[in-house]
Amino acid sequence: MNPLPNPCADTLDRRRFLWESGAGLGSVALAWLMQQESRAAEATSPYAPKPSHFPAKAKRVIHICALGGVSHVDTFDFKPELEKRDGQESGKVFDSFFGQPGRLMKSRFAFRQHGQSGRWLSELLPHLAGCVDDLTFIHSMHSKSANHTPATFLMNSGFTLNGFPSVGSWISYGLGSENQNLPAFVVLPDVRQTPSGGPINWSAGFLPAVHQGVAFTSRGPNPIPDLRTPMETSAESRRASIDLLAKLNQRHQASDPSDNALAARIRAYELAAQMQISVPEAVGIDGESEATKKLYGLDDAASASFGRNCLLARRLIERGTRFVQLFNGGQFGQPRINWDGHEDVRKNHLDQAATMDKPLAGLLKDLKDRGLLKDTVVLWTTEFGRTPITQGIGGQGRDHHQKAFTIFAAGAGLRAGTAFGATDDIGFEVADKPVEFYDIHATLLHLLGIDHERLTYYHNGVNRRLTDVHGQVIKEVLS
Amino acid sequence: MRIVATGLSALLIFNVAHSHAGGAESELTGTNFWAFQPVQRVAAPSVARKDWPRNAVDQFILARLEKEELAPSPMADRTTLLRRLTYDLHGLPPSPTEIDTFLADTSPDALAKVVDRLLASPRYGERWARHWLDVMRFSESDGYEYDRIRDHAWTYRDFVIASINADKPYDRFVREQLAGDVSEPLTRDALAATGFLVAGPWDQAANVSASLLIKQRYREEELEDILGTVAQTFLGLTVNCARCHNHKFDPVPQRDYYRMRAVFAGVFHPTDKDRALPLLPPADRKSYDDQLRPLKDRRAEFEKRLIDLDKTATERVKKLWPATESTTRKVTDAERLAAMTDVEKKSREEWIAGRNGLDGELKKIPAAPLAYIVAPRVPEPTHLLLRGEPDKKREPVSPGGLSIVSLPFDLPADAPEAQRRIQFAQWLTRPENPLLARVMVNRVWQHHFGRGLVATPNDFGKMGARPSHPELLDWLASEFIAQGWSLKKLHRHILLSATYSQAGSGPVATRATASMRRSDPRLKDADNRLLWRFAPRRLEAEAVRDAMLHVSGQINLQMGGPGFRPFTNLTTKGLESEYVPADPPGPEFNRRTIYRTFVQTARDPLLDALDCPDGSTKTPVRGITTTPLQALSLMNGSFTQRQASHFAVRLRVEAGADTMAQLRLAWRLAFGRVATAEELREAEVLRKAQGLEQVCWALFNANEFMHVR
Repeated sequence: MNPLPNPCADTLDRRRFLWESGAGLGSVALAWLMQQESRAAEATSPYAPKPSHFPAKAKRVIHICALGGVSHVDTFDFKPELEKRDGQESGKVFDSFFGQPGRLMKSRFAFRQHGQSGRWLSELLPHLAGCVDDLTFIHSMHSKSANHTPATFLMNSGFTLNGFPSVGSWISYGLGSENQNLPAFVVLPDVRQTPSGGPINWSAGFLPAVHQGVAFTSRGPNPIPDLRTPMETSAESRRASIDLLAKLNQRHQASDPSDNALAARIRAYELAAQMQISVPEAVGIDGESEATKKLYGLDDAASASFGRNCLLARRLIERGTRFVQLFNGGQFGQPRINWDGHEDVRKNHLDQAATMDKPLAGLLKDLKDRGLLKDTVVLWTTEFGRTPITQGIGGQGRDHHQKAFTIFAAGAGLRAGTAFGATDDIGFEVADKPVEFYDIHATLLHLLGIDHERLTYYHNGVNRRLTDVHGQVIKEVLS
Repeated sequence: MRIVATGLSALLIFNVAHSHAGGAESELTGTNFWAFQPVQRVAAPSVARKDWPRNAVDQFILARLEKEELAPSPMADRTTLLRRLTYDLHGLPPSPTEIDTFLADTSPDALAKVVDRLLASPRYGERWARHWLDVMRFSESDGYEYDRIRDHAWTYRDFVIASINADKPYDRFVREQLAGDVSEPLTRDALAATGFLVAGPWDQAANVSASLLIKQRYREEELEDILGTVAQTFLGLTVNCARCHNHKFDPVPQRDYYRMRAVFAGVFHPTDKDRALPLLPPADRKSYDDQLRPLKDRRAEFEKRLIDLDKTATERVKKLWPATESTTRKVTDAERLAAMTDVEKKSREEWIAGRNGLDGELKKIPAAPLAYIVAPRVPEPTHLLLRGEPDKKREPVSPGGLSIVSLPFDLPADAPEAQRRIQFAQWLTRPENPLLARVMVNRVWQHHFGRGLVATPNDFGKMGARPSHPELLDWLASEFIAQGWSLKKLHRHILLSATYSQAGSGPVATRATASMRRSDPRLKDADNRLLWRFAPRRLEAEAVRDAMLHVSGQINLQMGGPGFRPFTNLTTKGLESEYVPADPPGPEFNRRTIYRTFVQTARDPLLDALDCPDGSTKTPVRGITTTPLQALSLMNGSFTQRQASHFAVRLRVEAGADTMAQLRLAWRLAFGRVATAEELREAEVLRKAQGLEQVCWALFNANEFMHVR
């Protein structure tokens, strides 16, 4: 049974899976229902915090999605053997996305060991290299799709198809938020462009719409639509109108006090009024010190926009937002504004790294300095890797590769400065401890105190889970 | 249904939670499960309280209430009832004239007259088509990264509206959606119907990939979407669970999935350059094309020559200009002409004449409208796939029906594409099929009462809910078939019942017996499972938007045709799309919401906040959530502000200078009732200080505007 009550959906939704006959466990259902009822009555906010299944290591998550397919062999997965065999035939017959496998190609960047942990990182990400002792790498990722958008959907929802709830919405549904005046799940798309698939990436799918990610835009003065009272309406005028509205609503509700939906709607207007104050406050980074702005790379044109989003992410989680998702990379296709280095992987990755490296390292350092990394998980993922083989003979780029790639995480409950799993000598396939996004999702939920097999929602004949029928918590990466 | 105890627990019986992975239940038992039994028509039960029932529905409902010692609620007042009915059937509020007419009509069939009037109006089809589009995941774009708009997908939406308005028999409505392009009669309507099968997502990137496996995998996903939609929509069965393994809970073996897959193996999206097919019978499509193609090609050749010549002449002119000028000034037609040689000028005239001549010829051929419908291909053989993986082919499977519906339907493996769909459609709509009628009457019931007799309308299997009133469900199903699958007759029967006319709130019936008074339904059945009252509800997103337009007087009731597009596409990158919602004013955008082009990633903040689905999810039951974002959208969104202003203008025009008359009219339009003296006094204070627009704003934001009782 589903242990997590969901007070923001109406009673119809909350109970519809209870109407089963014959099991003879009515008293259990009744107890559960009564508990839900009382909780629903207390919880007048749709984001009300909800208890986890077991004590949690982490309270909140920052998820960074580097889109386009970051080349693992050019960043985090050092392959001396690939250097040796540079230019040789790969001997691999495989079904690549563009169907033109060329020759083996060594990394376009030099690798060096960093930190006390001695992790090998390429020169592409010098600032991030300074944080390796806080990071937990997973080198043995593989995915179901080598096609960007389905692979991105898989990374974000566990399904390659549209229409399934995203990780952030599951977590919002499972845990609510610690701040009732901000959305529980905030999305910060790449300033250059919204990612391909747009809002499908942060959809609530079949979960109640309240759990959908709220995308803050940097276009125009308001981070979310309709946040501000229209210019032509004075504050006094709005106050007077709200006053009449309140009277109308009170009288209407008095004629049927049992209708919780009416009370909830009145409460939503109060919350909206608070959000009109709290959202601009949260996104107002002007008060941050120059040193902090510099730390996030705001003084550099290449990194300023992603830096701003990283800084925003810190401010949001500081204020209790449960899940913040950042995108580094815009839509797929030409021109490349993401990590999709088909033509020239060196040039492409240099351009992308210039936007991401300093802000990301800044975020990690800042979180650590402020003591936030102790109960926050920072998860960095890409939808797949890139072939250790060139795209086309004589090519300088790499094709999509779902057979092997690297992701990393940092923060609460994780074994810092370690690596898990491995690829073969040339980074072509997983050689040890294969991991899929289901396992990452299961582990992430575990860190938040949620059992991924118990976080369910009935939809069209199935008690749906984020991890579908898959997922293993990766115990080895837990501290 | 087994009743375990009294009180709440009698009504709420525990569902053993299964996970999708659930282990030991894979054996295919359960053919004796209620949903798979033939429809049993039992006589409506007798009841103690003889004066309450108006028809059979009421007898079933009251008998159950009496069994639980519960009493029904008193009848709703007429004003409330008219508002409820009008929103229910039209998704719009009643006009003051309609209210007056109904209140003045003292004849015994006054209610029946209203129901008939509402069912006869085209607004009814527009309202109920949206419910259908929710179930079958209607979308006018591809989804995925390109999310290209399907310019001709609206033809399916119009097919649904027209079919519902015409009260097309439901079995025919179903057959047309599965095989309307290959069955007689080949009407334009029936051809557009197969938009049903291809309304799901289509992944352009997977289809251009060089990887065969990516293509094959994607094709299996596409077919799963089609099969899942067919089975959930018409049968309330989740057969898609059987793609990888025998269904864990329902008697659907994996083999059945692949039998059905073979039925639809020739169904493809229209992916040629038009991304649509002419609404012509397949046999005529080729001759139509043969007629048009040579003319179109010749016209294109003339057009190309003219453009090339213009380009050459433009360059000649620009060459003579100083460099700075060529960036700031455009070459005029006269300059271009002057730069041409006489020979060129003569050719140009010939080409223009040639092009115009062809335009004339093209006009003579009656144009066939285009539609996003099934583009059938010769089916490849279907194999059972181990764990659903396309590279793990097992034995071949022939087209056939689901064994759960115990009516035989088998075809040879090489049966022609059209035959597969025609025969499947016939098999599905045989009156002996226990699920088709049950599932549909349950959907109709759901929209009238806020919840189906089976609360999980797309899942009549073991994981789904059990019917609250199984005999009533079967009675309605058999009556539906007996009445020629007429939806309008079904609505009429339900809407004229005493059950539907009950009040949504207010005190418990005073005429109840002593024992009934002891049992307060608010305690015993807080969830209103047994329908002792009408369940109040919030309006859906479309109804909120349409009602604001209606009340403000701005609604544009133009029906059908291409939808309006209140968004822009920001992207400049090839086929990719980044839609940004907009709220442009003007009559084109004041059409009913069902005519908004339904693009997956072009979401509207207002509709979104009010739980409008995104077109990629089958939504048999809409969520009703209440969020601060919803409040912000209604408080501050430009749409509400604008409609409030129009509303104020309308009040001044229609009620004249008398400010009290303006406010009284405002209440009648927005809430469908007379304002109280206290309300008028309060509103007048605001009007005087801040203007009539602010009063209108408050009415649009009020709970009473957004809710139906």
